[in-house]
Amino acid sequence: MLKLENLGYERENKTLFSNLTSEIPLGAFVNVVGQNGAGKTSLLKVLAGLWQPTTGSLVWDNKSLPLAAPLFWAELLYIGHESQLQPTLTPLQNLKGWIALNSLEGSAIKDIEAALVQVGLKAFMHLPAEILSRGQRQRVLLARLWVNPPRCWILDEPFTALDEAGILAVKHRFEEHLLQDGIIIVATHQPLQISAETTRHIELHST
Amino acid sequence: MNRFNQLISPRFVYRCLNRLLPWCLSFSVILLLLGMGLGLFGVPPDAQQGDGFRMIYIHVPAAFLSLGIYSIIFCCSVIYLVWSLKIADICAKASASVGALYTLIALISGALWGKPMWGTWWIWDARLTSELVLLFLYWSYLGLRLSIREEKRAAKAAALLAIVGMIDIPLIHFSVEWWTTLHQGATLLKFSKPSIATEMLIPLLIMLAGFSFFYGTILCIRMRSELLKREWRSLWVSEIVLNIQLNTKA
Amino acid sequence: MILNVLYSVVCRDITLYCQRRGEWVVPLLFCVMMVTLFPVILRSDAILIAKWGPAIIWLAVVLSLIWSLEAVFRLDYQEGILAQFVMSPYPLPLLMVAKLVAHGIVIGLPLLILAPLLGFLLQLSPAVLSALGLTLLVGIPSLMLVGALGAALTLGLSQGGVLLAVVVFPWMIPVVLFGIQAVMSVANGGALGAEILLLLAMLIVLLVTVPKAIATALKISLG
Repeated sequence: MLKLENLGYERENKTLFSNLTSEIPLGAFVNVVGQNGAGKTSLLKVLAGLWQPTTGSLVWDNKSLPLAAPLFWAELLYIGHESQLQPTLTPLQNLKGWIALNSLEGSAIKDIEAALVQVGLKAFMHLPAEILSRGQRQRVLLARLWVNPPRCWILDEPFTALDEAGILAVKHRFEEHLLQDGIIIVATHQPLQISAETTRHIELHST
Repeated sequence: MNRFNQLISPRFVYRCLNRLLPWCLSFSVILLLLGMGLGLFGVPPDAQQGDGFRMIYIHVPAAFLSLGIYSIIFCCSVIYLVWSLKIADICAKASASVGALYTLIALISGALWGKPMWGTWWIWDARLTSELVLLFLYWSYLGLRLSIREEKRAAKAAALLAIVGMIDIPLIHFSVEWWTTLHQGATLLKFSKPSIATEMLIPLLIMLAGFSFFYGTILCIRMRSELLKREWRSLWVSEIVLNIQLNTKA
Repeated sequence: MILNVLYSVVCRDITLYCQRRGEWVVPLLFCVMMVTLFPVILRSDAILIAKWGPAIIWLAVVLSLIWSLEAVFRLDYQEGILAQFVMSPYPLPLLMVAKLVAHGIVIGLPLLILAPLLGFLLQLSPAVLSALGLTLLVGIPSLMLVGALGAALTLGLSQGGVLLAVVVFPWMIPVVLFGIQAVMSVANGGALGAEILLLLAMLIVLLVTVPKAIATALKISLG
């Protein structure tokens, strides 16, 4: 369970959000909604433990975050706004490296290949990522969701550049994951409809 | 804990600095004038070095404080990284340029002192070379602070830099010393510290105090303006600014 | 398990460098240019070249290394991948050492081979050449560790290479001093003395302390 206690963040003398208190149990879906520049990315980075909050704290499994960060990160999957693919490596190599770095068990190549097929990139598996379109690169990143993903997901605008079919597939995967007691925190421009046991909405407004 | 928080609150520190400033300024002016007067006229010329030795009254305090201020920056950096005390970071930031200035003064006065003594403007002995490297450390600290736009990242990165630099200083001193003794052997460059007569020591101590108070003055001024800059949204800052505006209008 | 991950990081970085040849070829070219310029400037005065050659080669290697180190983190920082390193369950200092190992293989090793060759070009004696090789063998890893710390602190800044050089220069002085001193003493007819042991001791101390500092610096630079 992830707990937010009075979380606040300030950057360049501007308060992006403050006094955020919430409890996010297993199986919960959290939707962070806001316009461009409202602070969604900053909030997600603070929730992921990448940025230190200016006020308040984050608690994972009853342990406060700066110290418990390695434990939290062991169960966290973070897909940020910036592209996370090395353009000269293939999708397969990119995913393989990412999974090796991020999980303690590692994964079999065939699992990764199956995930890439699942997102419709079978033909591009062994080509350098720089020739893929923006949407295809996003699919490579999201393929991670199908390869033994950890419990907690923090995704920043995951549907960027995806087509209808892709969005549907990802939403379906979200619901599957929530049924397996996962936590999903997603930042989007518009509110997202996902069936889940517990749902939280965080709306950020730019001042 | 509450009392401590009160002690380090920006407003309280600002008021303390305001009260300290005139004292620091007057002490530094008096002590520097007194020290220079005594050093130039009050003390007889040295048996070996003639009048040239009087450079000691600028060189030694400047060199001593250049290292002293770096130690202060080091302590502030540790405090900042461990306890996230913003005042510590403001103090370090304000001290850096004074420290660099003193290092430069130490180097120039060292060269001016060395010319009549050893015949050249520069000697690659351990002390002067370490002083030069200290100047580079100050410059890299200032350079890093200037280059990073985000305040928090600049503060933390500079703090880490200062800590690494502090560990580096004895290492450099030792390696340069080894290097110079290997190069030149036991030559006349081994400047042995003669025992200083008391009458020569007093102006030195006065100058040391004067330089320290001057550092204190600059520290007060810079910390004050940095505090105002960082806390611009607080009520007490608006009050001060309004007061200044009212006073200047009246 | 962790060895597998470190091995895969090393392989991945080497692959990246092979695909972006500019990152390692250009520093090597710079090194060669700087050293070959030197006899031209001194108008082939053999005595001066023999006296200053080793120092120039050392300095050329140091400069090429500093500028190449900027790439160690930049390649992954640009793609937002460094955050994944930070959030990895494996110790960040070890992952950074793995990256440096890859950098050492791709750039350090060619520089190590290049330096005695350049010394041969400057007609330095075989004893000096082997001293050059040995001191650089111990010195280059130290320089890489210290340079990587600077690169981590100056990550993503627009001034890049110049600021890195300014930040790193004071830290490199002890290693450079002892390295050059060791080679110069061999050039003057002595034997490779205590300096190489000192360099080795410095390397061990740096290896134990610096990776943790690099990890801290990366966390500071990323957020």
